[in-house]
Amino acid sequence: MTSFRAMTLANFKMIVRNRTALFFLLGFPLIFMLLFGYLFGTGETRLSIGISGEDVSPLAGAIADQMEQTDGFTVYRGDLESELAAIEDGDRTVVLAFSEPDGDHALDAQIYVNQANPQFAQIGLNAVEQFLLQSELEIAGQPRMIQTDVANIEGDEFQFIDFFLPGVIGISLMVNGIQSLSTTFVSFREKGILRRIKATPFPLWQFILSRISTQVVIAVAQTVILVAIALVLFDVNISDSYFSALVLVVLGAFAFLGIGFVISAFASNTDVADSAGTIITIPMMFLSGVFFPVDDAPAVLQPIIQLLPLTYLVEGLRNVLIDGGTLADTWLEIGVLALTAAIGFLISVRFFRWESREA
Amino acid sequence: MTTQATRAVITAEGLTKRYGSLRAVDDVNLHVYESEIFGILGPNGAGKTTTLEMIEGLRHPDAGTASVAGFDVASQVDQVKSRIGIQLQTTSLFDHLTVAELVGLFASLYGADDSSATVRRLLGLVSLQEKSDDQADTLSGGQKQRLSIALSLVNDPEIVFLDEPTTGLDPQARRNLWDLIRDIRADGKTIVLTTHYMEEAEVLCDRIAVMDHGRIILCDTPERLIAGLNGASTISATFGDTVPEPAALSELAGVQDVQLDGSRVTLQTDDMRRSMAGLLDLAEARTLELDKLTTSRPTLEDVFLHYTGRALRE
Repeated sequence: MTSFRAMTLANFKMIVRNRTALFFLLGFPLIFMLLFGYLFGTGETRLSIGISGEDVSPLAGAIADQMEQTDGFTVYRGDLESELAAIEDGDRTVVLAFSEPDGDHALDAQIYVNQANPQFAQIGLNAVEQFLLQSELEIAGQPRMIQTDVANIEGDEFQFIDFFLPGVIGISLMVNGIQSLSTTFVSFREKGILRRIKATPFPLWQFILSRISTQVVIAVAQTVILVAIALVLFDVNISDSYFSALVLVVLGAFAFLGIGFVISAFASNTDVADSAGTIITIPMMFLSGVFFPVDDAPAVLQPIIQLLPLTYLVEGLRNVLIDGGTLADTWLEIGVLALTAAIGFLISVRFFRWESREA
Repeated sequence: MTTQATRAVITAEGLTKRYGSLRAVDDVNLHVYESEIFGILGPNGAGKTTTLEMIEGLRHPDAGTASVAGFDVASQVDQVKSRIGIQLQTTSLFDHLTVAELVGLFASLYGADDSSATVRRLLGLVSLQEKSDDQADTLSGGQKQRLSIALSLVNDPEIVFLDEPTTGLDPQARRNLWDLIRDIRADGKTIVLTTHYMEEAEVLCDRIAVMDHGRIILCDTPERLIAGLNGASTISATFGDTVPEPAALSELAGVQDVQLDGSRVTLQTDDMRRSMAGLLDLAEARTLELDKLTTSRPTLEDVFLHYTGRALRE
């Protein structure tokens, strides 16, 4: 076997057999995903009802008012056009559009149902129809006053998990690149393994390239596993921009590896590397829009947010995975990640050390 | 010298390494000949490891040159690396790999034969066959040292460098390792090792460089180093009821000094064999009871003490 292949294979064995590393690379993001997936993912308990044309008759207005006071409905009022746009974006379960009666009915109502989320749509439709039947009796005193018609719309289904999946991928790449790389590399130096490698004819650049290749492949594997689990458990709604996503994942892995190598260059021992990694990754996790959008974060935080590579990775992944964007749409994210990687590698090459300190 | 070889496979001239104002290694010159076991003996901090690492090409000297197996260490370090085997003083190895995987990996890193047959042969050589599927961190100290010696042999090197190979081992493990080192030499390889154990240097090495404060103060075979002291050997005898008078003892051939301490007599002699024969004849002639009789020759410890004024202790 060639030296490079042997070293890379050994790197994989070391990571796969290391339970602690596996927990942080896969278990940790998985726990996040399961936790948040089950807490918020599909559990939207209120039905979002869009209502338009409530002013066509007093009856329509009365129905809308009553619906608003009913538990279980969240009512949005708007014109038909904006409400239909909202249902297409996945923001409404059902849109109830009243119109001037045609013929001898008191009121005509068109019900639009978002079929992208069929189970939910059925619940929504039943609830609205039930409500209208009730209203006819209570408000108008007689049945079949309202002529209803149902239309299906293929709108975007949107769940919390759709928002969260790119964030979880970002976290797992960050842990892989920053924590896993820096603690491993510093321990290699601390234990004299780097010196033992230096004693062999195997060049340092190949040793490092082998490590980078391993971690990048691990990053892609993390992504595939997380996406697969999100698809199976939560029926996550992702686009088919797989290639664009792959490019972002690889660039993201490189950016975090660059940071990991910078930590490796300066940390005097494994504990220092571990602490430095934690100090960098924990705030980054919360400031990069992983758990909640950061557009509304205080202005004082915005410069920091805009400096964090995770912000760009998560934003880019959301763009391609959820909104079906292309690489051209994410040029800014791609540029920032590539720049982070380049700066990181340059700094770490400049400050590389074979040994913990000169003996 | 116990070997007939005279070709120098290592030549170091004027090697010097400074750390700040400290001269860790100061103008070291040495030659190591083919197929010998060459020991660098000295206390901790004497500069043994730094000397070794400059010869191995792991550390740049501030002054001086070294050539190994005919290649200049400074300009042809790759040729040097592929012809030598190295055991570092503190190598802990990659976690989560088995003993056999580590040997195979290092063979690959040297571009050497990494077939499972070769790995088995190397593990057989260091008596670690049964451990081949165990992870390295489960091995005992002696087993770890044997593994790291196996790793130093993966490229079938001409010269093997062992940095304090027996430090921290129990006496049995230490003797096993000496046998292993002799086996490697019998295979035609040259061995350079460092140690701070005099006994080890004395019984294992063909030649010894004695190092202190970064300098080589002596370099020769153990026998000649000791002989060079012109030191007297010591005979210590404990008699039964009757102790011979000092005058009779001091007349024995070779005896230079006599000390009496109750029933115990200590003789300094420059001719151990004749003094001993004389002492036994005396005891036989007078039918004296001899309870205890010990002899001791000067050791490398005495050599070190003589030249540095300090004992060679950890």
